[in-house]
Amino acid sequence: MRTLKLVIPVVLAGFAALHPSPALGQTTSPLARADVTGVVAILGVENDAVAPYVDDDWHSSFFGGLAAGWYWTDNLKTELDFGAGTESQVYRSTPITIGGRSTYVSTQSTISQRTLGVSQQYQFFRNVWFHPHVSGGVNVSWEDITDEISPVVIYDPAAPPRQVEPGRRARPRTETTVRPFIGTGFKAYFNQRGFFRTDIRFAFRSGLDEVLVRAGFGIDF
Amino acid sequence: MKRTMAWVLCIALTTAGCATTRTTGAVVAPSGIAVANSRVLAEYVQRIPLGSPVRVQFANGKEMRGTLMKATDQNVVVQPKTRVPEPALEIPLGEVMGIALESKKGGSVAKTIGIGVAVGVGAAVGFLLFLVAALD
Repeated sequence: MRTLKLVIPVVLAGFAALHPSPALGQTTSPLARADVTGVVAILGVENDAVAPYVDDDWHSSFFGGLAAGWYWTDNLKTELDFGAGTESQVYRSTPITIGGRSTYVSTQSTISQRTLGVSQQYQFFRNVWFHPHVSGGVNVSWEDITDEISPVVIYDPAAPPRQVEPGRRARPRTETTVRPFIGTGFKAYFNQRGFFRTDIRFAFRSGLDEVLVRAGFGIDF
Repeated sequence: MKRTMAWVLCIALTTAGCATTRTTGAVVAPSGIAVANSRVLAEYVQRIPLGSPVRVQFANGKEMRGTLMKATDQNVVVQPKTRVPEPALEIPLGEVMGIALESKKGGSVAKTIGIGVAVGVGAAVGFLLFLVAALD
């Protein structure tokens, strides 16, 4: 929440304080009005699971998406992006006690994520071939989660293993999360309008929560 | 007057580096010298072959690169070196601190290297992303 409080003023300040520098007789209308980029990405998300035994702190997936930006000036751009990721798996094990005997419930969660983000970018330089940028914004993530819960078995040294609960597949659920993020990257043009773009962004909730590294090609309009 | 001009010319050429001339700031220099330097700058610019790549340094600290298209006593016309072509700019010499002749070859090579590095890094990152996702 503190991060959100920090990011929002930065984004608003971007709108309010930064303006084009019409020096050298430059026209005040932006050189490009909009851009569209198709991206592929790797998305890493920190696991929410509170179980003591989780196979990895982060789960990652391959991600594809589309980003569309609107230039208010040559340096300020608002961008909307949408992406969807492939499935990733998280395994966790939770200790339980049944009839005075300790055992574990093992759960394998299959997670796929869709993300909608809105951000404000500051793009450095004007009308050059290489434009670094910094950005801040907010993304909404929808995580589709399906849990496969293994049978619960009690192991007793004096008796054969006894299954006390069958394995089951939990009803799929969707969790919605809003995270502020900051990012940086660059656009490298290979002709007047076409460009290669890559960026990295970090989303926060309780500390660093999500890392998205994207690369793709796009065009200015 | 000739001696003054000679001094000004010598100072300008020795302090500003090869193929570069600068006016000293009108704020800090006596007005007579500033006027003389503007004249030197005008003479210098008019001797640069039209079509040469130049770097123009403005009194406000900004800088631009472009192609010299015309030079008169009062101003220079420079076609900015940009990704998307822009109209040539007529710049009053009073706003110019200095004009440096740029190497055609160096700029082009630097640009090509820059683009190559950017695309190479991008392609490498993209490939790594693909590998990481495929192995995950």
